[in-house]
Amino acid sequence: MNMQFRTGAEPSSATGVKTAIADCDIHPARATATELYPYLAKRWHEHLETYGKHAYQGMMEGPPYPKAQPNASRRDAYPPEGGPQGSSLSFMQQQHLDPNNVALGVLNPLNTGQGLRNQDLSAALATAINDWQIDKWTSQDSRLKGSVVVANEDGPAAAAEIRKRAGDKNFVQVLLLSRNVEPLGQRRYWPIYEAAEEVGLPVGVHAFGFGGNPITASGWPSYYIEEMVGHSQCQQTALASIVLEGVFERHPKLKMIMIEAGFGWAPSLSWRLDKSWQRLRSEVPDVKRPPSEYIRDHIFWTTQPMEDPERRDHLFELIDWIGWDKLLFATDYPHWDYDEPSRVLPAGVSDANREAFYLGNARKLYGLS
Amino acid sequence: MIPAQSVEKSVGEIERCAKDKRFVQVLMLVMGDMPLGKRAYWPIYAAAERLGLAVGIHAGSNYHNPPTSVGWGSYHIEDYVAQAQAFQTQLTSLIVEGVFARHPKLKMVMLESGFTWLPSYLWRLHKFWRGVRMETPWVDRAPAEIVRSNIRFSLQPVDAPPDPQTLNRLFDHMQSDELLLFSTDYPHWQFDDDQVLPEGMSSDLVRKIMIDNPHATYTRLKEPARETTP
Repeated sequence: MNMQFRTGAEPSSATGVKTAIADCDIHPARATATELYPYLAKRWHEHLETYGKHAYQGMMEGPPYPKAQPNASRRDAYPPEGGPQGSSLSFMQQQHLDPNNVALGVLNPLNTGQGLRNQDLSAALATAINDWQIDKWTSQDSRLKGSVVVANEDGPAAAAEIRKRAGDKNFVQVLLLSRNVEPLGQRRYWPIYEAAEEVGLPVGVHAFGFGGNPITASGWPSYYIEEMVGHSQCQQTALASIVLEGVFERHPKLKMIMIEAGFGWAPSLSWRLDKSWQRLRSEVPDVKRPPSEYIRDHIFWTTQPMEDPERRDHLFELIDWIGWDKLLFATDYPHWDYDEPSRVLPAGVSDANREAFYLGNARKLYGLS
Repeated sequence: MIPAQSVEKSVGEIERCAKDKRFVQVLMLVMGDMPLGKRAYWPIYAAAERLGLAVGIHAGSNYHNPPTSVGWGSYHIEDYVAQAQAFQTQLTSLIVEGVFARHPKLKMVMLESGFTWLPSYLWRLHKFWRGVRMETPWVDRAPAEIVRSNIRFSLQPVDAPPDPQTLNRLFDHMQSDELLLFSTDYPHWQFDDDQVLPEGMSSDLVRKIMIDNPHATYTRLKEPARETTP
């Protein structure tokens, strides 16, 4: 985690990173509100200016909780040419990709219009953001790979967008958010999983989203820290839904990635699911194996925000329980809770596990080895 | 039992029953109308602390909100698994709203919450507390310290693999042997019968969980259980 109050542009690490890494969670931003207009029909320009995005929340723009830092991002990450943090490729290269030796950077665009109430607008924005990722980012820097953003509340439209990008090497995954109108295992989302498996893309589920449900099962909390911590609870229930609805039984080749929601809870959730399933499995006959087996076989986890116990042997035991082959390093650049690559993993890890953690697992999962 | 939808009537009922020393705690549900740390509930906690009662939070919902933070699932098993996540968000609420800064002697007991999620949950909360503690400046101790001084957990259900080695590593991750209180959930279907005590626990830990920790939590257990004034 990183709290920068300097305003100048500096390399993010004094020493840099010696060996190549994959950063599986980078957030590219639009420099201006109209940057997507070339990719949108004129009808939508007028619509956005008249009605806005109309999400499942009260706020027309912005998040439900103030995010501690401007745009939830590092104050030293403003590009010199202007625009919000993460909106300049050249500055991202200078501040992050080059000094940190990023060999593979996976783009996860947020605040795209994914999951709006107006599903035609959502679908138009998803297509636009995907074209924009190619033009502004992946075609300009071969280290960067895009995520297929989809209008997730409209299963058929989302599946069509995924199939449209089939075989396009600019993209390495489909992107969903964790908080939607319903839990992610519900059948309205099944066309997404079917299409992703068919075209051979894993599905990343990034924390956040605006599905309209309060972030606790007892309504809306008071503070940003409750939302931040709460994303891990959202992700747990979303993953439980995916497993218990039999998604992996129907799609044995599908892989999913839990992005920016922690991985420390993976063992305890798996144990709780297994224990409950042993007694309640008659309710979910499509779940044929202990839930922990589906999680172990199908789920990968990005590392940021890194689990950070007082004792490193606790961290190592935790990762042993999950599997060193299941973690994908991520920084969350340019967000304020960015993880510094050179400081994330304590000493005492074998070279093979270290290489897998920082790069090997991502290359293998994304088929880029 | 209290009518949590009316804090005024809840405090009245707490005061009425507190006279009877056979009552040891106030009972609330983990899923309700609003997060439990919200200041509307504070008079309940003030009364419990003043009268030497613990506050027990039990699994369950009034279903005024969906039982998960991502909406309504299809199955009972989802609702049951989701109790653990509800306890996690409630702990966050109780800690960051400052309930234990205001009521340092208050003990809260998480009932049928599971506990194997606690270590990694606290790592995450601690990390974000370090990052944004200026938002809640009254939280002047680390969340894990607050949990150790004010929060307890019932033993059942033990959401862990059956091998004693992993369970003992988990106890080590908890970094305290004072957090758990023995429970069985009898007569519910989750009752673990001959496995009410998981295998491989040291006799010291068993004694703590079955005798010492409950006594330290429910201080009224040490007092003679007779009615003081009718």
